[in-house]
Amino acid sequence: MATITRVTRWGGYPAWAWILQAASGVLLVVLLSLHIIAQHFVAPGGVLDYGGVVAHLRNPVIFVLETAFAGSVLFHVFAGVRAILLDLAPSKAQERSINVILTTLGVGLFVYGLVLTLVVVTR
Amino acid sequence: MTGNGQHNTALRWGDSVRWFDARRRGLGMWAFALNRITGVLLMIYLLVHFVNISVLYLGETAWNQLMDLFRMPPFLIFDVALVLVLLYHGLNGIRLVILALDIGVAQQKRIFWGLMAFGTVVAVFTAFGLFRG
Repeated sequence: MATITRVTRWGGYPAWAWILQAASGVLLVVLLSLHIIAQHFVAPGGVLDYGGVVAHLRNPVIFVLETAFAGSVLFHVFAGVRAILLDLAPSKAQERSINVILTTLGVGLFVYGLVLTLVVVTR
Repeated sequence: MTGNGQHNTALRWGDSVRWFDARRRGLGMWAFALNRITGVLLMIYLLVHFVNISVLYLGETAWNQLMDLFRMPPFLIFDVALVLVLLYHGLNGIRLVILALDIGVAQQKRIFWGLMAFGTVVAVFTAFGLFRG
């Protein structure tokens, strides 16, 4: 049997959490590389000063890339935390709480980052 | 979910302790353990990073002072460590995806060390880039 069917099926259902975490991981290799190169290697002295950050984020292409980066990194991180917690064999009720708490944290941080970005580019 | 389909009612403390028992493990198990450890470190970094970019709210002076701090050698050493952790987690992740696609299963140890060698080269270039300024 192909490895992909073993690692991507769990109890007879496709393991969407695993597939999406792998996919977001591959996406992150690209988006994180762009994030680091743009913010820390092109920038003089390794980090952007305030004006540099504003100019960087006001570029619509960069804005879209950084937003996509934030979304995929938060998904990837919280899917990872969920995978660790599910390995501790929680009950169904505990698993539901884990899902609700982690989704809230992930969405909350994404919205917070988006608001921060919009405040910085618009003032 | 256990093999017979039964659910446990509580988190099992014994499992989390056994998880740290690194004896009798092959390369793949070590790679997996390190993947999780680096993953947790990166999660902590991400949360700290959310706090440090929040300084943008405080305005130009506060942000630029923080960046002057980040340009100092102790922080550059931290950046190199961060890059090492990221490279391990990312390259090992690529290995996991490759294996899941059923590619190179027989050569997985060679692929692991090949990716680690590549990561070392990237880390050295990154360290030079960071300290050159």
